[in-house]
Amino acid sequence: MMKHDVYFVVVAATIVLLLTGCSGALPASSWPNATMVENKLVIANNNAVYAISSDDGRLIWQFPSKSDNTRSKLFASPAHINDSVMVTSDNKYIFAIDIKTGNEMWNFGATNNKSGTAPTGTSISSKLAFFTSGSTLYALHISTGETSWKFESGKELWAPPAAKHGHVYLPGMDHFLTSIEIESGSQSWKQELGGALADSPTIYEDTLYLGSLSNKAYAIDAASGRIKWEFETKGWVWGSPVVVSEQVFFSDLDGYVYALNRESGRQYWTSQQLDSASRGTPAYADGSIFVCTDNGFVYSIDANSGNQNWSIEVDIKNSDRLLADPIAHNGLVYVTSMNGDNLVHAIHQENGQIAWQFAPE
Amino acid sequence: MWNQLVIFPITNSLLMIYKLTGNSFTLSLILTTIAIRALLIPLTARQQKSQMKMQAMQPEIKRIQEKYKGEPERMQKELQKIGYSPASMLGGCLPMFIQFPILIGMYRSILRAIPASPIQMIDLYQAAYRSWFPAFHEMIPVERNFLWMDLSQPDRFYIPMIPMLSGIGVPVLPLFVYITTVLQQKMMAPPAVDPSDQSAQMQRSMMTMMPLMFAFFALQFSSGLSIYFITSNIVTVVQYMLINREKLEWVPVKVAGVLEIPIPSITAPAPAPTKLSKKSEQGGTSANPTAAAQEKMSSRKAKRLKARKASGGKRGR
Repeated sequence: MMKHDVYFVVVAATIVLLLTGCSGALPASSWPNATMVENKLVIANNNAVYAISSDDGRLIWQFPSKSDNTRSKLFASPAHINDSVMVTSDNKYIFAIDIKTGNEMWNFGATNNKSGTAPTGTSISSKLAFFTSGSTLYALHISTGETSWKFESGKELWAPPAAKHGHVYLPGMDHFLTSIEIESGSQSWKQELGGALADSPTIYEDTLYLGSLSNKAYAIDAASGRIKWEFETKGWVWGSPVVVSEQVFFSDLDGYVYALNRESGRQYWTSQQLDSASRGTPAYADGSIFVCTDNGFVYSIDANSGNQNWSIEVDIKNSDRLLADPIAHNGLVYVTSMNGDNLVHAIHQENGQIAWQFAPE
Repeated sequence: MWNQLVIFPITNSLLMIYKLTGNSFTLSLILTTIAIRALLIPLTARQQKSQMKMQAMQPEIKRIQEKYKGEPERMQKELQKIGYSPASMLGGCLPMFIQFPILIGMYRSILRAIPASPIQMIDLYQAAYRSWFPAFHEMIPVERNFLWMDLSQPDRFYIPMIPMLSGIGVPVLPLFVYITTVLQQKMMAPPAVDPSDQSAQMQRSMMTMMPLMFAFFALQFSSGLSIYFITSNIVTVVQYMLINREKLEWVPVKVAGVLEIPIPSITAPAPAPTKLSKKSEQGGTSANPTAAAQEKMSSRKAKRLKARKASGGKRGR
C-alpha cells in the first residue's frame, strides 16, 4: 500500500468515527425498559435481558446466557403472562422466556418485513400476544408463537398496543388510534388525534387515556372511539398516563407533570418545570408521583398538591439519560439508565436515597 | 456549541424546506445542499482558481527549482517573482477542509430531521426551532421514504421480480456516489506536468481513493447522505463548467474501467503567466507538456474557427 493510501485510510477512519459520534459505533436506537414480575425486575437492554432481585439487585438469570449478537438489540418493554416474559428485538424477533429459568420457550421472526422500525413492545390477552414491527401488528398464540392473524396499518407503529375488553388498541405514528377485534383481527373503529402516537394507551374501565406528540392528552371512549375530553399541554406527551382513582397523571417533553380529573379532564395542578424533558409514564405509590428526566434526575411529586418532595441526580459523573418508565414497588423506585455506569438504580421512595444499583458484567 | 452552531440550523433548514416543498424530504435535501454549496462559492471558486494557477505555474516552478538548487534564498525570491506563495496555495485547500465539518453536520442533521428511532425523535424535539413551525406536530413523523429508499437507512434496492435475488440488496445510491465522484474528479483534475512527479502520484492516489472512500460512506450511512454527496458533486461540476466555460472540451473518460462517458474537461491548463521553457523559446519541439498542450489547444481552436468560417459562421455543435 502506498504512503498516500495509508493517509486516506486514516482520514476515512477518522470521518467514520466523527460521523458516528466519536463512539466507534452507531448510537443506541432506544432506552432500556423494565417490568416487575413478582419480585423480579426484568430489564431488556441492548444484547441481553436481565432478571434481578427487586430486593437487592442480585442477578437471577440473563438471556441469552452468553452474549449473542444475532438477537440484536432488545430494548422494548418485556410483557408478562403466566410463567413467561416476552421481549422483542430490533431485528424483528419476539422471544418467549421462562420467567423462572431464563430459558427460551419459543421465538417468532417478522423477518420478511424488510422496512420499518423495530418492535417497541408487547401486550397480552388471555391467549394472544400482540407486537408490532414496521407497520404490521402481529397476533401470536402465547403457547406456541404461531401467528393467529396480522393487521396492516399502512404506517409506522412505534408504540406497543394495549389489549382489553376483547379489543386491541393500536396507536400509530400516522396520528390514528385504531381498535381491532381480538377474535377476528378486523378493525372496529379509527380515531384521528392530530399528532403522532408514540406510547400505548392506558385502559381504565371503559376509557382509554393517552398522550400525543401534538401537545395534547386525550380520554377516548373504548367502545366507540369518541373523544371524551382533551387537554392541551406545554410539550409533547410521549409516555402513557397513569390513572389513580379519580386522577390521571402524565408528564411532557417540556418537563411538566400534570394531574387532571379522570372524568372531566379538569386540571388539578401542573408542576413546576423540571430540569429537562420527562418522557416516561410516571409511577405512583402512597400519594407520590415519580418521574425521570432526560438529564438524569428522578423526582418525587406530591400527588395532591403537585409540590416536589425530593429530587436526585442518579449519576453525576456521566451524562445519564433516564428515558424509560420508572417502576414503584415495595417502598422503592426503580429507574433504568441509558448511558451511565449502572443499568438500574433502586431509590427509596421516602427520601430519594439510593438503595442499591445494578451494573451488568 | 457544535449543535447550536451547525446541527440545529441545518436541521431546521431541512425541515423548513421540507414544509415549503409539500413534505418532500428528498427535495429538501437537494435544495439545502445547493444552498450550502452556494454559500461556499466564494471559497470553492478560489480553490479552483488557485488549483489552475498552480498548475499553470508548474513548469516555471520546476525550472526555477532546478536552476537554483543550491541557493534556497534565491530560489524563494525567484518563486515570489512569478507569484508563487505556499501560504496562498494552502489557502486554496481551505474549502476542502471546510467540507468535512459540513459533511459531519449534514449527516447528523439528516438523522435528526428524519427520526427513525425514539432517541432521534426526542433529539429532534430538542433541536426544532418551534417558533419557525407553529404546527410542528403536523409535520411529525417526517416522511423519510422516497421511491424504494428509507432515507434514514443505508440504501439497498431489493429486486422483487427474481425470487433468487430477493434477499440481495443492490446499493444503487452508493454506485451513483462513486460514479459522480469519479466524474467530478476526472473533470477537475488538471493534466499532470510530469507523471512521475510526486504531486502527480498523489493526485492519482486521490483519484482512486476518494471515490472509494465516499462510496464506502454511502454504503455505511443513511441514503440521505448519499443524496447530499450526489447533489454536491453535480453542483461542483456545474460550478466548474460555468467558471471555465470558455476552455472546456468534451473528452471521453472511463469509469471503473468499463463505462465510457464524455465529460467536459479542460484539456490543457490556462496559459502560464511567465516565460516558456528554454527549448520552446528556441523554437524546437516543446519538452514542456503544458506548452505542448497549449499549442495543441490553440491549433484545435484555429481549426474550429476555420470550420465556423467555412460554414458561414454557424456553430459546429
